[in-house]
Amino acid sequence: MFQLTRIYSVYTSCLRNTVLLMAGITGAGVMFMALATCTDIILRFAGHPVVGVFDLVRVAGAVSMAAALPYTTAVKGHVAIEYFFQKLGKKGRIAADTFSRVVSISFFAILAWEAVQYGIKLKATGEVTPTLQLPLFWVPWIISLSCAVMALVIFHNLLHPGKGLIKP
Amino acid sequence: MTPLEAGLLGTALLLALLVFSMPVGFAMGVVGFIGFALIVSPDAAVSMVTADLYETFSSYGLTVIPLFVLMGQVALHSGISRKLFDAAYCWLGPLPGGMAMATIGACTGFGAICGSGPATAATMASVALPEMKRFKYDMGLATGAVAAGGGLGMLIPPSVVFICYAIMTEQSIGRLFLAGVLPGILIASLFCALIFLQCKANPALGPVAPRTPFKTKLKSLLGISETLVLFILVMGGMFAGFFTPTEAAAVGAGGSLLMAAIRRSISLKTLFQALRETARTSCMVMIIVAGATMFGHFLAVTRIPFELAAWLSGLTLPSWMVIAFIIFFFLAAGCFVDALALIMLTIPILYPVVTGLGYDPVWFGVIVVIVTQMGVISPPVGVNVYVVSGIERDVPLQVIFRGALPFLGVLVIAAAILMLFPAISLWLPNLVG
Repeated sequence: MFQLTRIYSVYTSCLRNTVLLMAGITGAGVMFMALATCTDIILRFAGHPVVGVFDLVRVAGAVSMAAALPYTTAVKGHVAIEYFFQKLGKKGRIAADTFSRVVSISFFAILAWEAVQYGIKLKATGEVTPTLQLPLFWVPWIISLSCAVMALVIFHNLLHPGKGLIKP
Repeated sequence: MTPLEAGLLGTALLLALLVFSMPVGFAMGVVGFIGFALIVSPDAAVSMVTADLYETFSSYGLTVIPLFVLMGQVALHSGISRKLFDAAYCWLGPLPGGMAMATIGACTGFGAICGSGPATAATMASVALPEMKRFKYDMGLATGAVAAGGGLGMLIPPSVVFICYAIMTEQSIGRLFLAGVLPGILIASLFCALIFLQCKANPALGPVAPRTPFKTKLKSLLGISETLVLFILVMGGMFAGFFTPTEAAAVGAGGSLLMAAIRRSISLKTLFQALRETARTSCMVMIIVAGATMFGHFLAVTRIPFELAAWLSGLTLPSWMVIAFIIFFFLAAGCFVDALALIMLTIPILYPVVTGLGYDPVWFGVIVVIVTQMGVISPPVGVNVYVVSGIERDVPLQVIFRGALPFLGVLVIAAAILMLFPAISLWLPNLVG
């Protein structure tokens, strides 16, 4: 029993650190998008635009927003309608919450699996960005990773209702 | 099962999931997935949701959201709001209810660099409420003004709600931003007039503050210079054709970071805080957009929006009555559902109806934002009221709702004015072309 508790505690800590690391990627990505675009604009006025900023910003945007998914879920940052939920009785709330989380876990697990397949398809068709010709197959894989981590976060929230994995 | 029956069943399932407190974006995605699987095929549904998620996250047009959010967050954490309030206070303070009017002025200014209503309300609550408390303002009026003023952030560009509406309806973000300017100023002026009249009738509500010397007044204008520079740079650059909306947002984010760094008004810790908030808010919006896209694809195969549009067009009701009914629906639903979520939920259904009746989509966007703005100060789920209550814990929730009630009346009047005179919202976008 003690071993199990310890393993679970290590698992929770790993999950928390992964979520925070992914949030860090989001922060860095958004900063990169702002700075790359500003640099391009300044150099464009000087007659030397940076080639491929459109591609870089698009890819950075996709990675940043995907990486933010687990963090937003962990700090309970998604918009939900609480009013009617609060009107349910205690048993009703537990049942509704469990149902809603199980459905969410299933949905994001499917998305995680299918995003891997989608990436494989993009690799097979040789999908690249228009200017820099950067391969794009790995972007759905990042989205897949985020969906998988998100499913784990929702599972954690299911086991610990009322407690967020990370304090906002 | 016919597509129409599947559509109705899907809508009922969506409502059930929302009642079960499932996040709005997830619920729309799940229903879109199940519905598409029922009508088309499970394989097609899996492909549709995966492609929609990928397309939403990798859309260049949507990168505008995190960049505008970052601009607002940096402004929020670097003390711009305090300067805006101080400047507005210097000029309006000596009038009856002047400090509450200054709050509305500061909210209008802050709305010009921050696209979120609750963020504007939270910022102004922490800046303006302690001052109004010190000058013995009636806390109903003070908190009501902050909650209602915060809603201006949704209307005055840049507005996250406008960006999402523009993307969902394939309208120009720039035209929608411009369409929000005059209605925003109109509502701010009406709010100030309301405060003035209330305090004139009952001076105890908002005691007059001491006069500020003219020199100090002039000096205070320096405080709004940063906001003005950012606003002109972002909006001016976009409408002069120098930048795309995404570039304008990046310039705004970069500009606010540069100004904060020069003034040394942001530490590494607060920058990280701003980035964390940016991640959270942007992702919250993106998942709603992705969910709405999936739900929209499901609705498209059910043909519900088109059938509804055709049915309404065939009715003998005058079109203004249909639009009034839609607005009443938004007003009622806005009392329970978050503004952005409500717009994303209903636009796939109602947009074809509105355009089918011949109404201008830009004008409709402005009206919808104003009506949902009413929801943020209406009981029982007025988000801005809860935000203010969270910061000013001494004031009971019902006092804030009561204080916000006259502002709700003003919003109803403003919506009626804008419905009667659509040119107020359409003049600027038509002028720029």
